[in-house]
Amino acid sequence: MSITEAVSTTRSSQIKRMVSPFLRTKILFGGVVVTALFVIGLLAPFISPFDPNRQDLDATMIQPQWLWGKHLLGTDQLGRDVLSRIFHGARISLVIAVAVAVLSGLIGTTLGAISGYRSGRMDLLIQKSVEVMWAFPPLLFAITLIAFLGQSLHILILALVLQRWIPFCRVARAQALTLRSRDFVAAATALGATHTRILCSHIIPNLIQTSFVVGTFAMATAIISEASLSFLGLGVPREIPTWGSMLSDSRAHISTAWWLPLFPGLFILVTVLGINLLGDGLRDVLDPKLNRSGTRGSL
Amino acid sequence: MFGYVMRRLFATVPVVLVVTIIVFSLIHMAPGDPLTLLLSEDANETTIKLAREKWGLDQPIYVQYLNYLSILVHGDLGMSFKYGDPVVSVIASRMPATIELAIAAMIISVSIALPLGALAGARPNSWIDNIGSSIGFLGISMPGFWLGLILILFLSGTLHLLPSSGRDSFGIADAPITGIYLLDSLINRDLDQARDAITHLAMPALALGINMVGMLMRVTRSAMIEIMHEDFITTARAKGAPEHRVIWLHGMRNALIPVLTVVGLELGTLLSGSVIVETVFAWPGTGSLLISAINSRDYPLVIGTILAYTLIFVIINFVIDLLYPLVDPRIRLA
Amino acid sequence: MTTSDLGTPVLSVRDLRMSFFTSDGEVRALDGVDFDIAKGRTLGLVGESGCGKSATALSIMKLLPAHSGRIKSGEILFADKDLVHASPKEMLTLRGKRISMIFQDPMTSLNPVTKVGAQIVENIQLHENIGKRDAHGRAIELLGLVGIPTPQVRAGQYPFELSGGMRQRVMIAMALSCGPDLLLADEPTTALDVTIQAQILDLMVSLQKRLSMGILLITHDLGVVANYTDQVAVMYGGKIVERTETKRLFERPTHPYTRGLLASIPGRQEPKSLIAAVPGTVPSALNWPSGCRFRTRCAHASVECETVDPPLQEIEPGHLVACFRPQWER
Repeated sequence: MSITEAVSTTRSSQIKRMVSPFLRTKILFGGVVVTALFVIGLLAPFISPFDPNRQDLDATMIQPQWLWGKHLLGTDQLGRDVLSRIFHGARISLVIAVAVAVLSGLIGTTLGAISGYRSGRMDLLIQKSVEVMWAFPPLLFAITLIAFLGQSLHILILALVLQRWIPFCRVARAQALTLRSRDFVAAATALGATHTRILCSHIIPNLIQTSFVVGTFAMATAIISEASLSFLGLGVPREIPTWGSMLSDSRAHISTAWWLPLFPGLFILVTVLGINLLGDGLRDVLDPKLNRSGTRGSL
Repeated sequence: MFGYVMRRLFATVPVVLVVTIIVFSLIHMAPGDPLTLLLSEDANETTIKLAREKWGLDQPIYVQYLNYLSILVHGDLGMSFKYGDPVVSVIASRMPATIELAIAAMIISVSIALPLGALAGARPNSWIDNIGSSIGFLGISMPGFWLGLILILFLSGTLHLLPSSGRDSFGIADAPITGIYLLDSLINRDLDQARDAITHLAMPALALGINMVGMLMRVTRSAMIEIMHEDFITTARAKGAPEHRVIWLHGMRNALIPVLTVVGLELGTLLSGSVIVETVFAWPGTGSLLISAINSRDYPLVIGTILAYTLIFVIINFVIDLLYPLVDPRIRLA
Repeated sequence: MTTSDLGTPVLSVRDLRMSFFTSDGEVRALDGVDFDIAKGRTLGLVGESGCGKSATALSIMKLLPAHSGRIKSGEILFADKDLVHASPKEMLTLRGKRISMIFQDPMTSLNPVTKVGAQIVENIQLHENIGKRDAHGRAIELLGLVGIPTPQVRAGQYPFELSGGMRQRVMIAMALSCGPDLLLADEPTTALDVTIQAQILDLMVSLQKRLSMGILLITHDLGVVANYTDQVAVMYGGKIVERTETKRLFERPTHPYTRGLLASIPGRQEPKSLIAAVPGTVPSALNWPSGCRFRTRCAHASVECETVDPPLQEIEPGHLVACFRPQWER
C-alpha cells in the first residue's frame, strides 16, 4: 500500500485497536449473559428451589444464606424465597422482552422497508407518524395507555410495542433507501418482479442483520420499561413475580432488609448490561454507523 | 433565524394535537361510559346532566372532539376527585418540584458526561477512556429507580448522610418565589434552606440523571473521536495551540452540536424517568401526582397531568431547538 | 533578516527516517530524506500521491499521528536546534510562530464554528503578548494583505461564508501572522479552481519576498513546480531521487522517474500520440523492493539496482540524483 493508504490505515487500525479489545469481550460477555437469562427463564420452574408465591410466615425476612442454607438470597416479608422469585421474574422479563422485540421488529422493519422503498405518500404518512410518536416520552405513553385501558400482560406489550417499533422503522427505512438504488433491484425490476416481490425477496432479507442489532437494544429497553412499570404498579398483574414489583415491595423494608432491593435490581442491571454489550458488539461488527440513527437508551 | 424559530414553533402543534387525540380516544376506548371516568362517584343528577351537555356526549364523535379541544383551550381541565380542587391548580402547585428535579438532573448529567466524554474521546483507549466508557455503559444499562433505592439504602440508611425522601425537612421552605426551593433559598440568601434543598435534591437528581449520563457520555465520546480526526484540529496544532486548548476549544466546541441533539432526544426519557424517581423518593412533583392519581382513579387529574407533561415536554424541546443557533453558526445565519 | 542573509539555510533535513507503525506492520514512510531550504527561496517537493511528501512536512512540524508515527533517525535543523530532539513545549513555541503550515483543503482546515478573524487572532495571541483589540486589528491588516476585500467585514464571518479561494487566503494570513521563517505549504492549491490557483501562488511568492521566508511547496503538479519554485526535490518511495535547481530539472531530468514524470505531461508529446505514463504502480509501502525502489518500473534497471539502494549523489554541481543509470540524453 502507498504511504497515503498507510496513513489512513493507521487511522483505521487505530480505530481497530480502539474497538478490538472490547469487541470480543463485549460479544462474549453479552452472549453469556443473554444465554444465561434465556436458560434461567426457560427452566425457572425446574431450577427454583421454592415456589415463588409460597408464603412461609415462619421464615420471613431471612438474610441471604448464600450457600449455607436453603434460602440463598434470603426471603421477603411474606417468607417467599427471593431466588425463586428472581428466577421466575427472569421468565417474565424474557417473555416480554422477546415479544416486544419481535413484534416491534416485524412491524417496524416492514413499515420502514415499505417507507424507504416506495417513497411517496406512504412514506410521508409513516414518516409523519414516526416524528410525532417519537416526540412523546415513551414511559409516559405506556403509563397513559395502561391507565385507561387497564392492566394486563397484553396491554403492557401493546404499550411497549407502540413505542419500540420506531427505531426499527428508521433504520430499515434508511437502509431501504440505499438498497433501492442498487443494481440488483434494478435487475429484478427489469425481469418483471413486482414491488412486493422485490421487497420480500430482496430488500427485507438484507435488513435482517441490522434489525437484529436494533432488536437487542429493543429488548434491553423493554426489560427496563417493564421493570419500571411494574415498580409503579402498572405493569404485569401483581400475582406474577417480576423484578420490578419485587423492587416496589422492597421499599417498605429498605432500612431493615438490604437484600430485598439489592438483588432484583442487580439482576436487571446485569441482564440489561449483557444485552447492551451484545448489541454493541454486534453493531461494531456489522455497521458502526448505526449509532446515530436514534436508537434510544433506557427507560 | 426568525424563519427557523417560527418553523420550530409550528412543529410543536401537531404533537400537542396528536396527544389530545390520543387522550380523547383513550377516554372513549376505556371500559365504561366516559362520564364515569370524568365525574366523581357522588356526582348528582344535575352535575351529570350539565356534564353531558358540556361535552356533547350525544353528538357525533368528531364534534365531541372539537368540543373537547375548545374546553381544553379554555384551560378547563375539570376538578380533581381526590383534592377537590381544579385540576389546573393542583398541577400548578406540583409543577415547580418536577422542573427543579429535571433541571438538577440535567445539570448533573451534563457536568459529569461532557468532560468525561470529551477526554475519553480525545484519548481513545487510554485509562480515562476505559473508565469513561465503562461509566457510560453502566449508565445506560442502569435502572434509574434502582439506583435511587440503592442510594437510599447506603446514603440514608447506612451512612445517614442524606434524607431519604421528600423535598424539605418539616416545611423549612417558606415564602416561595419561583417555587424552586434551591433558587428561592439562594434568592433569599437563606443558607440553611439552601443546604436543606440540596441534601434533598442530591439523590433524586442523581438517580434521574444516571441514564442521561451514560447516553451523553457515549455520544460525546464518539463525536469527539470523529472530530479529533478532522483537518482543522491539525491546523490548530500547527498554530502552536497546546493540546488542552485543542481538545476543549476546538474539539469539544464542535462536538456540542451532536451532543445538543442527544440532550434534546433524551429529554423525553428524563421526563418519564421523573415519574418513577419521584415515586421512589416521595418527591412532591407532577410525576408522583400522576401515579397517585392513577391509583385513586382520579381521571380528570390523570388526563390533566398527562397534558401538562406534554406541554412541558414540547416547551423544553422548543427551548433546546432555540439553543441550536447558538452553537452552530450555520443555522444562525443560513 | 537582511537581503545579505538570503540564501542561507533556514531548514536542513539530514537523512530523515520516519515510519508509521500500523497493525499490519511498519510502513517506512521516509527513508533517508535530505534537503535544505534557503531563506527567501522555495523548494518544491514533488511526487505521486503517497510518496511521503506530506509525511515530510508533518515530521518537520512533529505533527505525526501520536499513536503510530515516529521519527526513527535523522536531523531536522532549524534555528540552531535539532527538531527531532525538541521537546513538545519547544515545538509549541515554534509552531505557528517560526514555522507555519498551510494545508490542502481549506474547506475542512478551518474551525467551522469560529469566526475567521478570531482564528487568526488565536494564532497571534498564542505567541505574542498582545491585547485582543490590537490582535484583531492586526488580523484585519493581514486579511487585507492577502488580498481579501473588506477585511473588517470578512473577519467577522464564519468559514462557510467564504469561497474556497478566500478560505485559503485566510489560512495564509493565519500562517503568516507571526512572521515565520519557514512556511510549509502542503498542496495549497490542489483543492482550488485553476483560475484561483495562480492567484494564491502569486500571493505566496510576493509575501515570501516581504518576509524573506523559506517555503517548502509540496505538490504533485509539475506546472506549479516549474513556475513557483527555485529548487525542486523529486520524491519516490519515501526517498528523494533527484534534487536540483528547478530550471535544471526541466532542462536535464536525469532520474528515470523524473524523466517519466516529465514525459507524461500532456502537451509534451506529439499530438494524437499516447501519453507516456510511467508503467506499473507504486509498490506497497509495507514492503519496498530491495535495492532501488523504482527498479520495478524502470526501463533501465540493472542487476546492481536490485541489490544496492542508490545513494543521492552529485552528478554535476548542484544536481543530485539517486540512480546508477542516470539518463542524460533528452
